[in-house]
Parts: sequence; C-alpha cells; structure tokens
Amino acid sequence: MDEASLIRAAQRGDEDAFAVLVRAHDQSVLRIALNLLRSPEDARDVYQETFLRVHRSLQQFRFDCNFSTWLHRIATNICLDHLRRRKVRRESPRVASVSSGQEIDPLDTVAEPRADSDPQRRVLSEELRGRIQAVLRELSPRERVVFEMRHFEGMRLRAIGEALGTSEEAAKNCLFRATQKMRSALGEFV
Amino acid sequence: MNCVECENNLVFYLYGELPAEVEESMEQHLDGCAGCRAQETRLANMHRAIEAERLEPSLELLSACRQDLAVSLRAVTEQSDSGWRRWLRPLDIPGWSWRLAGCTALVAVGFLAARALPGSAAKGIGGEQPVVSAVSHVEKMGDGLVRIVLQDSVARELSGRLDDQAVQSLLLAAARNTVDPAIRVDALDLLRGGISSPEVRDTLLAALRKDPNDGVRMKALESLRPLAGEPQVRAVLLDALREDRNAMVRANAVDVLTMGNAQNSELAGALQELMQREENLDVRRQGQRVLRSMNASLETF
Repeated sequence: MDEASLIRAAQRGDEDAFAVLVRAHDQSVLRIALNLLRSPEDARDVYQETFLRVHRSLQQFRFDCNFSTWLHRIATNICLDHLRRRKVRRESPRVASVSSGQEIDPLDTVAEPRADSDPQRRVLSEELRGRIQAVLRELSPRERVVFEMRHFEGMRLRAIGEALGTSEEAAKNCLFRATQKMRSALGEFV
Repeated sequence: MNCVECENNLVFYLYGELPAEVEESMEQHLDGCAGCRAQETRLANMHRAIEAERLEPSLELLSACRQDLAVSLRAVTEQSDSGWRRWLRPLDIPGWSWRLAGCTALVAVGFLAARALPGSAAKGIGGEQPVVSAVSHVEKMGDGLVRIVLQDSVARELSGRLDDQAVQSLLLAAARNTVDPAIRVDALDLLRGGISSPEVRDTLLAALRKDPNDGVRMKALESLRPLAGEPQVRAVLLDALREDRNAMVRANAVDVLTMGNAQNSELAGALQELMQREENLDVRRQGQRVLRSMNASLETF
C-alpha cells in the first residue's frame, strides 16, 4: 500500500495503517527532537506529543504538501515550544546531576557510535564539544531549528521553510546568522 | 566574485545551496584566493566538528517511545469508544437512520450470540482456536436489513528449521506481503541464511527496489552485501544509490557497491551523477571519498 493510501485508511480510522505511518517516520521525528533538545527525556515527550497530535488532526491533512513536511512541521513546532520554555526558564546545562562528585550526562544514554568508538578523540575534543553545546544553547530557538535541520537532517532550505511555515529566504537568513555565531564562538578551535 | 561576496556565500556553498552559476563563480574565486580558501577550510572543519555532535537515538529509546505511544493511543481509542455511539462509528455513512443503526446492533449481538452458543452456525470454526474477525464489507439491503461480510482468520503457530521449504515459503510471503514493516524486517533478516536461493535473492532485490519502509530497504541492502559482485544485484544497488529517498540507504549502497571492485566505471559514473544533486552531506562526502580512491573526477563535465 503506498503512503497516500495508508493516510486515507488512517483517516478512516484504520489504526493498523496509522501504525505503519508512524513506523515509517518515527525515527526521523525522534532524531530531530533528540538533536534539537539534546535530552532523551524531552525527545521522548516530543515523539509522544507529535504522534498524538497527528492522530488527532489527521482528518485535517489535505495532501497539499508531503506528509513528512506536515509531520515535521508539527514536530518542529513542538520542539520550538520546548526550546522557548527553556529560554524562559534559562534551563540548566546538559549535565543533569551530580552523584558522588561524578557528573552524569543524560546523553550518555543515547547511541553515539562515532564518539564511543574513538575515546581518545572524545577526550581531545571535549572542550570543543562543550563550546559547540554552549553555542547551540545560545542560538535563538528558530536559528537552532534551522541550523540543526540543515546540518543534521540534511534538509534543503526550501523544505525547512515549508516545515516551519516560513519562506526559504527567512530560513536562509536564520542559517547564516546561526553559522556566523558558531564561527565566532569556535574560531580558535578550527 | 570578490572576497566579500565569497565570504557571504561560503556557508551556502558548503551546504550545496547555491545556484549552479554562483557555485561556479565561487569555485573560480576560491581557486585563485588563498585567504578565502583558508576560510572555506576552517568552515569545513567547523562542520566536521559539529557533525560529530549529531545524536542518533538508540533502539531502546525508540522502542520506549513506541511503547508509550501504543499505550496512549489505546487510551485515546478506548475513551472515544466508551459510549454506545461506538456501534455507529464503522458505519458512519450520511443518511443512515437511527433505526438502521439499531438493526446493525441487533445483527452484531445476534452474530456474537451465534458464535457463543454450541451447535450454532459458527461451529465449523474450531472452538478452542483463537479467531480474529475483520469486517470486510457492509451493505444496506432494504427493509431495515444490513449485510455484513466478516473475514475470520485463525491464529496458528508453526516452527521449523530455516532450510525447511515450508518455513522458507512462509518467510518469503511475510517479507513480501505483511503490512507490519517490523515483521518484514525480521523475515528478511531470517532469510539472509538462504541467500543462495534465487527466490530469496529476488525477494531481497524486490524489497530494496520498492518497499515503502526505509528500515526494510536498509535490511534488504545489508542482506545483499555477500552478492554485491553479481551484475543483477549491482544494477539494483546502483538504482538505490541514484534514486532511494533515504540518505542512509544511499550511503550504505555506496558502501556495499565499493566492496571488492573499487574500479567499477559504472559506479564512478553513478557517483559523479550523484554529486550533481546529492543534498545530504554524509552521502556527498562518502561519494567524494570513493571517487578520489578511484582517481576519478568529482563531477561529470
């Protein structure tokens, strides 16, 4: 069954068709949320909220864009809300808790094969990593979403604009600003 | 192009977001300007450093998310089905009257009673076996009657060795026809053991060519690795490299195609074509690396 047929079946209330749609797209939603929020717990919340919202609103999907664009729009809007709430709260940095003097990084629960497979590089680049994380946190929510979608998801600026309900030009400006901030913060390291 | 214009376009150049003519001007400028070339190198280094920060969700996290969602969706479905109106939901056709709905309910009750009572019309179905029924057709017949067609399926359990013809046939059918992609992935995984069979190979090739699920295509691709030298398999792998919508599949296709025969001119041509339009940075870099290892140019001219 092709995707359009699956969507129509899910719109008629076919839960199996909905489950197939979820399975086809959920890894990409989870990856976007994880990279944007850098927290497995928050990514899990976003995953749940995204697909429940999709389930509720599927009747409103009118095939005037790709299903994945529509889905990404929902997921990134939820991520943006999370990021904005964090900005308001000025959330603490990623290192979440301290136990017996040992810092525990929640992202250690995330599959990170490249870093794990080369511990020496991991140690050497620790300072650079810290700097990158700091800059990512300092970007505006919208800059961060555009930057991560382009850089980590490999999405074209036009598609990012569609997903965010804005123009390609606006997405381009966000990417430019985000990269300039990265360059000025990481200048001495690269 | 001058240095200021080059600087302003550098970000978009590295992301492949410039129109072809601007990209060409950039390349000409970079070839003749050591300062801008150094800036490009620094920015590319920064990209690589940031790339190392990319997170991939673990399978455990994905599985936990799926379980959460299944629980929530069940709760949502039960909530929306909690009232007597649920009887009307599958027959939600404009113009149907409440009287007809009442008839429908009676038919359903009658059907359930028939199944439950010994000696009823349903006795042909083994009493002890679990039966799953799905409504495949409903129809208004006049005089307040409705006709409902149910497809009953009986769950059975089989076990056997992978080299058993019957087991292999069922796995092939599961890999081709099952709606749930997770079952298709598991079936393909089990079939890897029988890759010498033409039927298994054809099923794997068909899955790589046209399965709608990215994970299933990835599994098929991985399973075809031992056959990467066969012309028919290479042709499908090259199609995946050119046309698959998923970047991971394209990247893995490059990897599998380079096994054993890195001097393949068809692969070089396909990679050069790919460089013209590939948007994903990982795939671009991998393609460039392979082309360099073949001493081939990075583009077609």
